Amino acid sequence: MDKLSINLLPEDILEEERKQIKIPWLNSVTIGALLLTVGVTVSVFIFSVAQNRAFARLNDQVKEARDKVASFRETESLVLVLKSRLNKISSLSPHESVYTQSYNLITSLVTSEIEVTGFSVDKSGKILLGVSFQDPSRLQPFFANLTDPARNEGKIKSVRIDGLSKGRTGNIKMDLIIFFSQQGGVN
Amino acid sequence: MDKLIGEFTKSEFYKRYKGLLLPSISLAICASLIGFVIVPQVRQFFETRGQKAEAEQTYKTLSEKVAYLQGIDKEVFADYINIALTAIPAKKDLPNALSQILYLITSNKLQVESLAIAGSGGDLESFSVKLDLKGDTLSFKNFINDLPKVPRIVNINALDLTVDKKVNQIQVSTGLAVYYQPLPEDIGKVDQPLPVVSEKEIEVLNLFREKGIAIPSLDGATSTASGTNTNRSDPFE
Repeated sequence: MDKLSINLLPEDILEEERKQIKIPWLNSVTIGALLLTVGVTVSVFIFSVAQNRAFARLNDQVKEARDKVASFRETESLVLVLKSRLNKISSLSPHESVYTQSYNLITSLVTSEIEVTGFSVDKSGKILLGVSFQDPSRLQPFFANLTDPARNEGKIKSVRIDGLSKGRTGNIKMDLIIFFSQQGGVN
Repeated sequence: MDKLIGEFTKSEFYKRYKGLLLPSISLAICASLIGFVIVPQVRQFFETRGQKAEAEQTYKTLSEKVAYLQGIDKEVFADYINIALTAIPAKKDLPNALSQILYLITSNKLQVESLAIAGSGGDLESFSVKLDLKGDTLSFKNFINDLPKVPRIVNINALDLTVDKKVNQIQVSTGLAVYYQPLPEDIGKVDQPLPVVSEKEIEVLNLFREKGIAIPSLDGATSTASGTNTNRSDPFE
């Protein structure tokens, strides 16, 4: 049997309720959102406090380590001075200079029939070589040495004859321009 | 005030929208919490995380530095510095450099025709010794090959050679660059990582020690290079 319901509220109140905007789920959703936001806020806050404490602890450790390093300042200065000098030593000393290398190479390539009259080299490796000889046929082995990468360790990039003259005595003088490379390597 | 509230609660607007009051207040609180607490805290979190990573790196560097410094024997390092100072002194130290070069020249039976000192003109702290030498080819070859044996670092920076066939002698005009490096005035910040001296570098120093034994020099560098420690632990003293 259906229950009989009688609304005893006055008509003006009923009218007020009819006018009122109601979204049934809105209250529960917003309260839920509020609770969630409060929860997140509390978590973030707790996490932040914990993080700050850890950071403060770490800063204390860093300060302690700094003090310790400061107590070794004299030893540190020794290491730094030594290291800066070692860096300079390694940048200056390990390799033979282009001058020494080129001189050693050219003197090893000059054959016994050829006499060196002059040798000059600049830091780029450009060699001015003066030679003299009697018999032009003896020149062949010398040129072979200069131009064969297998004999000159691939360190001679080019050879150019700059001057050639013959004296009264039959002595032939020749000036050569040789480009020397420290890298070398036989192709 | 009460009157104002009373009038508001009786107003049509209030009666119509009072159902939305609680959700509105809730949303306002949410927005405030997000805007004034969560966003700044999250931003702060990332900032602190960056700073923490930096501090951790600093701590690691400092700990490694302490460990390395604790293991250093000051006397041994002072000895190494003295050897390094023989190779590259803090000052020009002309007499010592010249004595070593002249020792090498005379021991290779070359004659000095002229000798001049010039400034470097380059970026490096160095000076140049211009030499005119006379001798035979083999002596000169030995001389330039022996140059790396000089305790002080000396490099050839010019070479011009002519051969006088009549007397079978060569005339050499050469330049030698001699290096020096003033001691640093500042050793930097505590947090800076410390460069480590490697075994290979110690070997290089030992080579210089041997050079010092082979070629004498004028002053205390001789005794240092030959192994006698000057006991100067602090190069800044």
